[in-house]
Amino acid sequence: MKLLNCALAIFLISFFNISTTYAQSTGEIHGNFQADVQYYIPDTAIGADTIPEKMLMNSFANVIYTKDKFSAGVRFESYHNALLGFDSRYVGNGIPYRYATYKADELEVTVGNYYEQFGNGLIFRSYEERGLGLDNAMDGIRVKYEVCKGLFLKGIVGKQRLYFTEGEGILRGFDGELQVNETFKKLAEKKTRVILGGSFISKYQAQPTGAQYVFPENVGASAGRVNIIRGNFRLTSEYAQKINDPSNDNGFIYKEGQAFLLMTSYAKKGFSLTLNAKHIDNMGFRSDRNATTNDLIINYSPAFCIQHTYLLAALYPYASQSNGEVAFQTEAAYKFKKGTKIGGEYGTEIKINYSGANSLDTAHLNDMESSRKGYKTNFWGVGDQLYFRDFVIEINKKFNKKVKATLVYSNQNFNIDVVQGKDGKPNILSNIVIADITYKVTSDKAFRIEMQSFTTEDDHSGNWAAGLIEATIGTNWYVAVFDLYNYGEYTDELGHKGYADYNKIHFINASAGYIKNANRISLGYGKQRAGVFCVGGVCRTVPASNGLTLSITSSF
Amino acid sequence: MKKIFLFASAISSFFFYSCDYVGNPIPPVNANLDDTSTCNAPTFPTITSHVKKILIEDYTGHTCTNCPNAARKLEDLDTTYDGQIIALGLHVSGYALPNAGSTGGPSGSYLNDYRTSYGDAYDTYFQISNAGLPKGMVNRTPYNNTTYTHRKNWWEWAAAVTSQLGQAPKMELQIINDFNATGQKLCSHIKAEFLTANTGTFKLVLLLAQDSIIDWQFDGGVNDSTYVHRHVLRDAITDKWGAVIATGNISASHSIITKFAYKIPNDYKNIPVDMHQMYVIAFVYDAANYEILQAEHEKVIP
Repeated sequence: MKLLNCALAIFLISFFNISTTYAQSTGEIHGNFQADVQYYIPDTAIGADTIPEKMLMNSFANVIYTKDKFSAGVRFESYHNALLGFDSRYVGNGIPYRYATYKADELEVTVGNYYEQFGNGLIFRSYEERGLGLDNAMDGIRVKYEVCKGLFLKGIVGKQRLYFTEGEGILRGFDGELQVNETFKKLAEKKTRVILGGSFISKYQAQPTGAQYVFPENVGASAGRVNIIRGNFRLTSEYAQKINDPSNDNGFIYKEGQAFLLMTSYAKKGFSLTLNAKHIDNMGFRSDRNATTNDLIINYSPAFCIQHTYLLAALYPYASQSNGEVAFQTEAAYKFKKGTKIGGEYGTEIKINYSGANSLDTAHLNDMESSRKGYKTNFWGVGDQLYFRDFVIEINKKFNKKVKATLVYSNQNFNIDVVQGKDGKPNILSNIVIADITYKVTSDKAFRIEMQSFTTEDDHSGNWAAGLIEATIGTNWYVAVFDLYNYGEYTDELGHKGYADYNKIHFINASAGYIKNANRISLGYGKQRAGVFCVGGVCRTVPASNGLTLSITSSF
Repeated sequence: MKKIFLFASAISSFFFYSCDYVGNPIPPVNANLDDTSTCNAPTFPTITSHVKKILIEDYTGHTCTNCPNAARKLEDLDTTYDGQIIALGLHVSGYALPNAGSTGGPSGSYLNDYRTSYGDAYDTYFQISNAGLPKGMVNRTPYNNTTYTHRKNWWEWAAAVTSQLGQAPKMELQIINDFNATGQKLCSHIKAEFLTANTGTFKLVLLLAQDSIIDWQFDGGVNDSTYVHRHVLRDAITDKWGAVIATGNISASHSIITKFAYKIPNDYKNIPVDMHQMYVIAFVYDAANYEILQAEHEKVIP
């Protein structure tokens, strides 16, 4: 590993100076940089603790060299120390990501680190999501081979990144994809396009000494998928299975896991309709059976819920339940044409989305002292327990050359007990209304106002209201002020009344930014409430904080 | 097409060999274990003068010609440090196979199988016979699964013993055996008392050994039919990696009293048991580095 790091460093340094001038003959160097710094002020009213270092920083830089069919890169990361809410094992400096890859005819070889996904990720997805502090990059080798036109094979072997170390388990896997219309000449002109895929992955982790159970050292998972496209219609489906994989996720049961995905969509100009459904059963899959939080996750379950961008709609984000869920999502979008009654002068877009998830329909097995399968699942059933529902209407309308608006209504039902593990709290029913109005003063000056409301009677955190005023000045500057306010009463399950957790507290945030070409610098000050932040159904807990933030991003 | 077929066969074989299906997740429980509810609690005598005792594991095999050298060294040490050495012979590897004829011995020789699943597990885990026999461990220390510093040749044992005995005892371990000859039921009562404050997880292991079994041994190129096999491991009463008796911050004088019931069979793998030669061997180790804090042995029938 050290040797590879050294070789890469020497290699990159020797090319650094000649990157632009001789780009044609010697290749190119690109990269990007980001630093997030926060200065923390203790604030007992919102539960923001004293941070001994006072200031924390997350930072990284990528440097990538490419020449023809060869590329190599490194990522330097620096945490002094990790920002609040990120795992403290992100500490100090390091080069956790370095790779070299080349392509020779049908063969592509990558050594070092890489990200990869098989199909929809049901059995394997190695990816990075900085906002979550999630990075399960592989370290090992990857080989891709194009057997013949339309038939692709991928093979991977390696270990997963665990902060500045690697997980214990070894992953071995392959994926094959056949683009039927490409491979078989007779089908080349057919209107229906079909893509078939199959994948398999196995993890190895040794049996620990003195373990309470006999563990499977090699755990395999396989998946098959199909993709059918005909005209405006598209269907994607995948089925995956995993053999016995006792882990901390599933309470060390030996039940097989399975997952099924169905995603259909129809789209034509001005109209689209999607319908998605999934069944996930005991699919928690990590390269260390004892891992927790977002550590060493091997696979991924696509999120079937709207990823809300407005804060109060995202107050209770849904996290995919890898242990088991039946979920659905349907969305219809329609654009009323210009000149019609609803469409007005510029047209009006309406989007309706309904998504939800329930528990599995299971029957408990009393076998924890013998086969430890835990439970039996009725594949076609839906369990009684509601995990979440979200009904959303979004209207986008441009009134005239200066004013446009987005109106969002969301009705949510969120099971905080299951999704966030907060015992004893009921499902939280809430209504969220958001208005977002942009007023363009001149071609490069604009004001934007957001008004948001979140009301509920079920949660200790009560009602919330939020407002934002943002001004964009010229092409380079923006200034924004945001206030989040908590108010109201609640009645708990025993009928006791109380005030909202942060009753009558203003979480004020002010920020300003400067953007020029590839550089972006922003400075902010404000209070952050404790909560949960999710990307694609994978979540991170965000503790309360109060302080000054500085963010710099740049690329070359 | 040929290429596709080749890929397909390579891939499908990978499929079959990369999955371990576990039918029974619960590790097998020793069928000889018995009900402890009828084991009456004894009174453990108060001990004021504490002595450190050392477990020496001698990994051996009946067709291993150099192994008796190690066994004799172990006896020497036992004599030199009287009462401070807890000896255990573990028959492992190809040298312990029931294997007539391999040493040129007469027909009927070397047919007994003295191996146990516990000895095999220790041998594999600590990588002992991999490096050739005889080899052994002195209190399983200093444990290192890369450099195998815990694995020692018999001529290195004496130095290791001296070094270990230079340390003050960290624990007092007492065994009181109560054997009922009628049902062949053994009640083994253990008291473990920490003498110093410790942090970590500590596990207690109870093994059953049989002393002075007379059987074939290849000794210095000679087939000896009346060789005396000492302290032979026959079974484990606890799990091979033991049971946790204390974890976390443990104060000095913290003590644990526990009991085990075990029905001694008439034979193991058709090798007869002599009740008068049976010993309970107990030891407590630090789960972090396998170092044995204290060891003890006690005859089943005093």
